[in-house]
Amino acid sequence: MTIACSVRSHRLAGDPGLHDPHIASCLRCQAEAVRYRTLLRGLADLRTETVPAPPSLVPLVASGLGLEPDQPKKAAGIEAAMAAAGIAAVAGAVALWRRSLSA
Amino acid sequence: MADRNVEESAELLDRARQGDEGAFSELVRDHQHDVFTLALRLLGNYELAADAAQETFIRAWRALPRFRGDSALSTWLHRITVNTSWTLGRRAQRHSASSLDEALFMDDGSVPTPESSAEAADLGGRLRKAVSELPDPQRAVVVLKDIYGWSHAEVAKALDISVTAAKVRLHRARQKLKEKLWREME
Repeated sequence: MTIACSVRSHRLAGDPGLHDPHIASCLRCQAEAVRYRTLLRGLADLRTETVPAPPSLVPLVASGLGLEPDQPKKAAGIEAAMAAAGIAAVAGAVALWRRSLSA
Repeated sequence: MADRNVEESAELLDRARQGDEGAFSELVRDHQHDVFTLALRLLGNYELAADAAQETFIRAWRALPRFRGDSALSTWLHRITVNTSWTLGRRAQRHSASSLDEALFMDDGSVPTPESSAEAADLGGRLRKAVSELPDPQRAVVVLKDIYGWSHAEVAKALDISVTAAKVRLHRARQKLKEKLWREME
């Protein structure tokens, strides 16, 4: 690559549509301009692509903003179930202990 | 995004601005993939991008009463996404530089993306991979300017840098992308 081509290549990165007498007569620089234009077209095409958000995003946003009225009820239900299970476990342990004493 | 006409979208936005939570949830559903995609492109990390998208919508809900509609809602959400992604990215680097490096880079030094390497066969796939491998500051400028079509001034303002710095970063990023893409092809 000549110095002139190297200078133009640098400028083409900023403006692939650059009008310049050297570029008009230099196949190497014209090829470089085409590459930059292809690059910019490819990048612009990426705009239409989307990556699916994780399924948890919408519920997490809602819960982060306290927009889920059912959430506290669910939590309360889980807590109540855990408390009931705890009481049952203690009652079972007491029954086993009494049985062992009477045996 | 759900198929809504202009009137329906405007009505939904209006209701959300007045505090209608159901309307805002609909807006989140409509824009979630777009916001997440931008965050992922800026951060190059799936988990961080999910956090950034979540934080973006939380900030949007709080700021919604002040949204005057000077720009499209998607444009406004993009601005919040950029700010949020930048904040989370910096925070993650500051608090856990080594673990972030592990999260951001796989064994071969490339950044993990949802796309498989098999997809990288076409120009789009190779371009996605090349963009994801740019250093963070250069990637941000390319994503906002060349993919999302922001002006140099908008990019500079969003990233809190001068317009000249934005142009220099873009210039270097494009040169790297061009060299990487066509070196691989030759």
